[in-house]
Amino acid sequence: MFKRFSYRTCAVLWGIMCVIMPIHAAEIQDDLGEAFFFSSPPMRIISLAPSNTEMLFALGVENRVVGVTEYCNYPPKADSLEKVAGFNTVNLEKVVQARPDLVLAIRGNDMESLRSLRQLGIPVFSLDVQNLDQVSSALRRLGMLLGVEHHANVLADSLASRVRLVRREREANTEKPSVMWGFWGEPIYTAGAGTMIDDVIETAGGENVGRLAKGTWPQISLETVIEWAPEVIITTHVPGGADSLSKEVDRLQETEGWKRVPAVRSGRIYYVEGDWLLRPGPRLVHALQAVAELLHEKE
Amino acid sequence: MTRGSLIVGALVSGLLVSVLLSLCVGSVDIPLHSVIAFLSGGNHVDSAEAVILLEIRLPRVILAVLVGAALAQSGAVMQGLFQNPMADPYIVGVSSGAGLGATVAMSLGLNFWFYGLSGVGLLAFIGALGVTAVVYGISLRGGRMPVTVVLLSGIALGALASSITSYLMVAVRDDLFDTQRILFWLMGSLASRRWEHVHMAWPQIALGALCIQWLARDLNILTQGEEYALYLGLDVERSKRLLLLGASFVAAAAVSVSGIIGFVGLVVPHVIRMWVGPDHRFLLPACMLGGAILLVNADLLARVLIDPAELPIGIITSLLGCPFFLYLLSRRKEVEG
Repeated sequence: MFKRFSYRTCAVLWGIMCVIMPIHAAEIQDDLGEAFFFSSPPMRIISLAPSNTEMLFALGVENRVVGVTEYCNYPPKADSLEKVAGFNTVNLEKVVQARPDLVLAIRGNDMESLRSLRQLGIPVFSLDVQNLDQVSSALRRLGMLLGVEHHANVLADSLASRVRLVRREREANTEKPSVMWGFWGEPIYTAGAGTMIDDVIETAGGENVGRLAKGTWPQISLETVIEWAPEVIITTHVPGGADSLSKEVDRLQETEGWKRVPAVRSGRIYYVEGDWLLRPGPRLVHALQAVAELLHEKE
Repeated sequence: MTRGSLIVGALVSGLLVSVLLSLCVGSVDIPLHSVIAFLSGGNHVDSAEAVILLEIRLPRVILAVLVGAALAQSGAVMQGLFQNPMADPYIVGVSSGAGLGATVAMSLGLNFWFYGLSGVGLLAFIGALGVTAVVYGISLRGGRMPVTVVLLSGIALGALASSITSYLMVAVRDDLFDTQRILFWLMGSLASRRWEHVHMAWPQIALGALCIQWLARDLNILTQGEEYALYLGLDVERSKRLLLLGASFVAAAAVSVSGIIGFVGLVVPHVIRMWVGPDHRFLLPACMLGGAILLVNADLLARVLIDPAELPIGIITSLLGCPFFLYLLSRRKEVEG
């Protein structure tokens, strides 16, 4: 009799759990494969990357952000928040002092610091966004994690539809210019296959010449650039600032070697804001639209 | 009381002051009485301050003491053995070997922790000892180990290991993040080091340091010249090998947890020798204290100067140590023979 009662109690309890759990707690996986189980949405968040900060602001939870990195400069309000990390270094003391209930990291953060934080009992959720589609999916997951699913889904849908629009326009365009991302100072680096920049260039309807090299961030010589003969060069850094781009183009057109590169000859060297193209955040879609416009600019 | 023990006493108090200062000062300043209360296990152990002090700052300061002591002692031994003022703990390839090991670990993504040992630290330790072992193997001829051969093969193998490290960084560079990690590691740092790192390094350092201290008298005799040592009945080759092994061992242990921190092992022994004299029985412990003081203070500056970011500690050890060393050199009257 007692035994049957306890079985029944268990069954009832289990049934109640099944109904309640999905509502009050959600299990979410981060990009390093760690599962998270939050009974209530985190309210004191530390962002360890500019892209994370931009996502949190875009999700409208900026009031929950209690610490950012020195490089978090957008939106401007982020600049006034407490700085708890530098480039590749996390100031553990400041993080602990801020009493966070969530640290939002990226794969590039110092792993030892993240391990320390976990050992101190602070949950660390890591993102690893490497292409346009992952921006939307990261936003959706953050939305679930932070209890702002609706807002997140609206935002992710609108970003995804902007990406779709660019894709559709690309299909209408038959010309597919070859594009190289990089700087012309030594050493010359470019973006290979699998990078975010590669995804942006290809989605925008260009052909990323960087794919011809091995590796994700190949270091190349001027000879290689001449051989690849890109029709367009996209840069995120101009020596002397973006305003001196036309002067730089003039100089390259006079420089032996560089003047043989089609992009230099035709002056199709464009500047795209680095904070858009290099940060795996919502503004990557701005970068995509900018690049798409530049690639299919009518001469 | 001898002059030597007086200086050791002064160094001990200097280290104590440095450690306490390091525990008080940081991104979050903790008053001295709280530090003492936390250390003695007082209440409020759950406060953020207590966590910062006991889980973040304390292990880091202890590691600075260990690494500084190990590097300075190792440097003193190398300078004594090789009779060369330019010798330092890295002269037989410890640093390049450790750099290679750590680079291999990081470029292969071996960021694991295994029974309290980090993959990077483990491979760095193995790399350091591996290169040293090869140097010894090459230099050993007929039971003897000529110092010049050790020096030259150490330099050659060190260069080889460094070039392989650079190759790995440039060629096997799938991930820009790995390159960053490797660069920061090669510059040396105590950032984000925890109790795990302390546990990983102290047994080797303690063992090696004791072994070296036990051989301090032999080292005294060796510095008089190997021939003289032989006349005095010393088993020269055995002592030499043990000392070299011990010095490489403690340096490898230090480097495996801190990355490559330069200058400490080169300059601290010189400075201390000017004060304490050449008797290694006093010189070695004094060097350990001096190295610990330098590194504790350097690490303090590394974490507060550009707060919230951190400077690589190697920059600070040179910035602090160099002018001081040059000042001492310029004041020296006698010329060393």
